[in-house]
Amino acid sequence: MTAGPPPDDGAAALFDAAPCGVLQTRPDGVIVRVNGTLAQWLGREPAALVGERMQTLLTVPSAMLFETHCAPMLRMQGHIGEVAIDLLGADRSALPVLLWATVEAQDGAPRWFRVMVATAGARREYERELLAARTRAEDAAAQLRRQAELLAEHSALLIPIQRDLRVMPVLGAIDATRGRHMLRALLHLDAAAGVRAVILDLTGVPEIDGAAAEVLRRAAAGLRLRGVRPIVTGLRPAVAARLVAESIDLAGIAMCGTLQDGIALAGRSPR
Amino acid sequence: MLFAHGFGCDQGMWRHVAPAFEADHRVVLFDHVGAGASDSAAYDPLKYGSLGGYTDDVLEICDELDLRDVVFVGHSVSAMIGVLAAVRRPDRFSKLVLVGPSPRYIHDVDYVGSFERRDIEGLLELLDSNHMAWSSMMAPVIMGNPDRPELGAELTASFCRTDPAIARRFARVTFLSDNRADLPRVRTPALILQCAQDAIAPAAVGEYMHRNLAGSTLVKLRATGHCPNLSAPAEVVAEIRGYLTGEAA
Repeated sequence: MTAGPPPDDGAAALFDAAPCGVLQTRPDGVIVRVNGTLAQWLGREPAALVGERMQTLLTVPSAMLFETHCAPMLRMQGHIGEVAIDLLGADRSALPVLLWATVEAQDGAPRWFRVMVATAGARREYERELLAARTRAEDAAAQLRRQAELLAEHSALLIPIQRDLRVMPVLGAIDATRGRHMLRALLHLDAAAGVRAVILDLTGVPEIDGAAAEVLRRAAAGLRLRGVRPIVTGLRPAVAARLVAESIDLAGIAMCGTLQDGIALAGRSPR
Repeated sequence: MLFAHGFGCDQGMWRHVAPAFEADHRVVLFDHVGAGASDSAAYDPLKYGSLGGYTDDVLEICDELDLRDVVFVGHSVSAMIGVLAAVRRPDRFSKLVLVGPSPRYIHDVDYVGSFERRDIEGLLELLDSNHMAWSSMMAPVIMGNPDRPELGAELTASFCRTDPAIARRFARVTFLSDNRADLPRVRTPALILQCAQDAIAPAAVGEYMHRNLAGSTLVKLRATGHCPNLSAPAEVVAEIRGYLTGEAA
């Protein structure tokens, strides 16, 4: 047996028992019609809601959102949708819903607001968790950036070994940021300190590409201009191999195998 | 006449009010930083950490455009920004029109405001939730009508656009502000337009404003809600015009 057509009051029953809250208000929010589902969520009789302002069915923060955002937007663009807002439930607790509304206008002026609300408790909870996770991720990213900057600054430390000798131990790849920090530290070397040599110890540098070599060349040139002797130590075999393979030229910079050799070299006067 | 919009929207709020005064006034509209078509990059959390920063901007507009005898029309929080501006530079302003003003939103000892402090936190949470959805919702609406590009432009222009991060801070600054002590310092005549059933600035707050603003006029509008500039522009225009010409509307 097939289902017959719905009875004549089908539309009214659909309105009243729809699985969402439906209401119609005047532009000032006064309710003129409300369905049974919404009245039930609010713990009220539909007839008792007629004549009340819709704003009074909302929690205080939701009424604030409605008056400052929803009402202006409804009037300015004629519709709003997917607004997260809280109704005051039967037990006066917040009932999270999503709200849609459209305006029926007559002669350019709004005549009725048609409003639909759907419960959204689980979605809103999920959304809150997402939002909290995003905030945590943003905080973590900001902290990482701060630490990276701090590391980059510390990656260009000039350590005094003797009165006239400084060592800059370089750890990790010499990228653009690191290069900038290195050059700044070297070129701002205090002239009055009487430093005669700086050792760039590359024991902790896994590879050197063309850009990194350029940093070293500029560092060396800059130091020489200040009357300071540049010495590079601790070049790893793999790094040296790559410099040769790619014909990257570091000629003119004094090289030593180890930091100790470099310190010894610095102690002798340059030829 | 200088029109200033309140929290939650932009200068579009005045589109049915401001044009009525263009024939006999120089009409100036602007968006607060973070709202409408303003440059969000100009936002400085320190400067805009209090209403003083927004007041600076109003005075800067007056100076830059060399506005004199200014009738300042401010809605909601901008009504108080106008009060602060008039206290700092009374020479610039001839009259204040305060639409739905409140010197303090949170209840206090011997003061009935509109909210508890926890309500403000509740609003911030709702703003977070909605900004996330609104920002991802706008683009599809505009893209869904490729044959009508003007729809996109109109939508963007009328959407009460706000920068979410700034709106959040502006909400805090707005609803936690307390400018009750500034009211007795105002020397500029003021018209207070009070709506019926306004949850943000209720009648008692309008009366408090009136009692503490010497020489102010309080008019209770028939309009309900918090945005009579949108819901009852004709009534707002008539009251302002009546006040400016010295006649009852």
